[in-house]
Amino acid sequence: MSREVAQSLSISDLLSALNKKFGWECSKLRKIPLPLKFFASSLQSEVTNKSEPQQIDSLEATVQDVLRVILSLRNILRPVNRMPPEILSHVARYLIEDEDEDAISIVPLTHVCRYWRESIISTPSNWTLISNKNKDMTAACLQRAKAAPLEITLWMPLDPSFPDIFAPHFQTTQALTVRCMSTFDELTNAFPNFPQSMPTLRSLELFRKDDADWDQSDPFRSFVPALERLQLIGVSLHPSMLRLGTLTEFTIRDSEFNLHLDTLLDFMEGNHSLERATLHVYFVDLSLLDSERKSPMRNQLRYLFINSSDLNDTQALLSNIPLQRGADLHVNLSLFGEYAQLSDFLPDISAAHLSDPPSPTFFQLGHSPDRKRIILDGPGGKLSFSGYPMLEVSFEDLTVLPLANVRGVHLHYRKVDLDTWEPPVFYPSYFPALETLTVDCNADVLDFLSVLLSNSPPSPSLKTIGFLNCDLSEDFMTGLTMFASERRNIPTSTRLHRVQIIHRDGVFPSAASIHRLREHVHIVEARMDDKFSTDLT
Amino acid sequence: MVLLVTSDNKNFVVDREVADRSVFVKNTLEARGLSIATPPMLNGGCFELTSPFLQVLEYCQHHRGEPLPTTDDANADENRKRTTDIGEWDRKFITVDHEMLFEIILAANYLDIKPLLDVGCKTIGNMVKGKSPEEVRKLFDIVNDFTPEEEAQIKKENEWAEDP
Repeated sequence: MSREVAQSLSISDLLSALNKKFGWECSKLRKIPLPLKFFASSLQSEVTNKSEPQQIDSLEATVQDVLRVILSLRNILRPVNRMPPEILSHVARYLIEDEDEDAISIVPLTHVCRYWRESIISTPSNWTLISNKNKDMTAACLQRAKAAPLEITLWMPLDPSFPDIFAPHFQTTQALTVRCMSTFDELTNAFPNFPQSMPTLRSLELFRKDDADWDQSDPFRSFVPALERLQLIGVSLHPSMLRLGTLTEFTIRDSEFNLHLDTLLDFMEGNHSLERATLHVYFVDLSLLDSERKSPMRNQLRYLFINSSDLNDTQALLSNIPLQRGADLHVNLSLFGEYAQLSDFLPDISAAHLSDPPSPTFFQLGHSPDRKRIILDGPGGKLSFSGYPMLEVSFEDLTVLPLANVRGVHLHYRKVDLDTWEPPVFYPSYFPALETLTVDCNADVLDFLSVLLSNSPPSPSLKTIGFLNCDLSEDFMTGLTMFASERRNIPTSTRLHRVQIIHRDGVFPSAASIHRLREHVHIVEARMDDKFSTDLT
Repeated sequence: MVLLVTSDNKNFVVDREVADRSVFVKNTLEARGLSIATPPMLNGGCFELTSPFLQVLEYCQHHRGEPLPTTDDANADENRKRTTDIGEWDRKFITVDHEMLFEIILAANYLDIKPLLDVGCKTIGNMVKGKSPEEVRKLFDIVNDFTPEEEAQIKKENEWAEDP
C-alpha cells in the first residue's frame, strides 16, 4: 500500500486494506471489540494530527506490533504453552538422538512461536552439542550454550576459521570427537595447545580417515588430567600411551592389524582406574599374539566387550583380561570360513567369568541362520555371547553354563528354509528354577517343546508361558492343555498360571482350543498384536 | 496410608509406597517426621485438580515398588543418553487427549515424579519429531507471532540444515 493511497483512506478503509495485507491476523483483531475501538480511535487521532505521509508507515508498524502482541497472548493461552519453559526444553532435548553431533534437530522447534523459541534457546544445555558442519550454526550454538560443558565434534580437514571460533570455549569442553583424521598433526596444528587447552576434557574419540596412512606419532605429548574415556577408531595405540590420568573407559578398533597383544595389555594395565574396555581387534599375524608377559593383566575390569573374528584371539584376550566379580562380559565372534562349536570356548568363558559368583536369573537364546546369541543375566553380572555365521549352537552345549537359578528363559528362533529346518529340542531340565518361558518362533513349536509338554522331567516352578508368532497347531494346543491339566494333579509342581499367545502372523489357535486351555489355566491371553513383552511375571 | 487432598477438596487415601513415587510427597512427609503405614490418615499436601491427579495416581500405583531414579540417573540423563522409547503400559497410559497430557505433565512436574515427566515429554517429543514448525503450530493450535527481525533470523537458521 503506497503512502498516497493510505493518506486518502478512512480508518475503516485503512483497516480493510490492512486486513487484505495481513489477512487472518487482522480479521482476528476486528473480533476483539474493545481494543479495536481503542486502537481505531488512536489511529484516527494519529492520522488527523500528523500530516507527514510517512507516518502511515509508522502506524502500519504499530498495527503489526499490536497484532503480534495479541497473537503472542493468544499463544500463551494455548494449553500446550501452559507448560513452563523448562519442560519445553526437556521435550526438545529428547529430539537430540544419541548419534547426533549437533542440535540441528531441535532448531525447527525454535521456529514455532516466540514462547517456544525463547524457552528452548535460553536453556544452555540444549546447545552443548557442537560440530563444525556450518559456521553460523556453530557460532550460534556456542553463544547459546554459554558456560555449559561442551561436546564438540570436528570433521577434518578443518576450515582455517574454526580454531578461532572454538578456542575461547576449550575451557568448557568436556568431550571431543575428531573424525576423518589423516594424521594427528592435523589436530595439533589447528590447536597448538591441545590437550593442555582443554583441562576439563573427559572424553576423547579419534576416528581415522579410511584411506589415511596413519603415522605412529604419540598423540598425547602431555598429561590429560581429567580424561576418563578414550576411543581410538583406526588410530594406532602407541606403546608410550601408558598413563592417561583417570581413564576408566577404553575402546579400540584396530584396522591396521598391527596391534600387539602386549601393547594392549600393557596399556590397560598402566591405567589402574580402567573399568570398561571394548576391543574390536584381530591379530592377523600370529606373532602379534606372542606375549612376553609373565602373567595376565593385574587390574580387573567391570565390563569387557570383545569383537573378533578369530577363535584364538578371543581365547587369548579372555585368558589375559581378568574381570571383577559381577562383571559384564560380551563376546561377539564373527567366524568367516572357520567352523566352530559353541562348546569349543563356552567352557573357557564359563570357567573364567561365570563360575564365581554367578547366579544368572535370566537366559536368552537367539538362533537364526546368520546369527546366534546367548545372554545370561542376573545380579552376578551379564554374559552376552553372539556369533555368526559359522557357529553351531545346540542345547547340549549349554550344560556348561550355570543355569540352576535361571527363572526366566526367552527363546528366539528364526527359520528360513521351511523344508530343511529342524528345530532343536528345549530341555527344561537344564532350568530347574524356571518360572517364565517365552518363545518367539516363526514355526510350529510342537517338536521344539515336546520334552516340556511331556512333563518329563517337570519344571516344578513354571507358572507362565508366552508365545509370539508361533504356529500353534491343534496338536500343540492339545499337548499344552494336557500339560496344564496334569500339572494340577502334581503336588510338587505349581499350577500353570498364565499363557499368553500373541500373533502378528503365523497359525493362530482355534477358539475352541483356547477355550479348552482356559479350563486349566488361570489367565489365557490370546490376541493378534505386534507387541510382546518377554517379562510376563 | 497417606491422605492426599487435591485443590478441589477431594481426598485420596493411598499406600505410602504409592505416594512415595512423588519425590515432593516423599520429602514433605519425611520433613514432617510422619511415620510409614500409620493408620491415622495424614495430610500429605495439596494438589491440582482431581482429574489429572487420578491419572497420576494410576501411574504411581502401577509403578509402585520400582526403584526411584537416583541423582546419578539424573546426571546420566543430562549427559544426553536419551531415547524416545516408551514402555508398552506407559504408552497406553499416556494415550490421552492433548489437554490431559499437558495436565499430567504439569502434575508430574509439580509432584516431582521424574519417570512420569519423562514419559510425558517423550510423548510430546514423538508428536513433534520430524514435523515442520507449521505442522507443530497446527498440531497445538499455535500461531506464528514472530517479528520481521525474528523471521529474518529464522530464515537464516533454516539454511543451517541445508548447508552441512
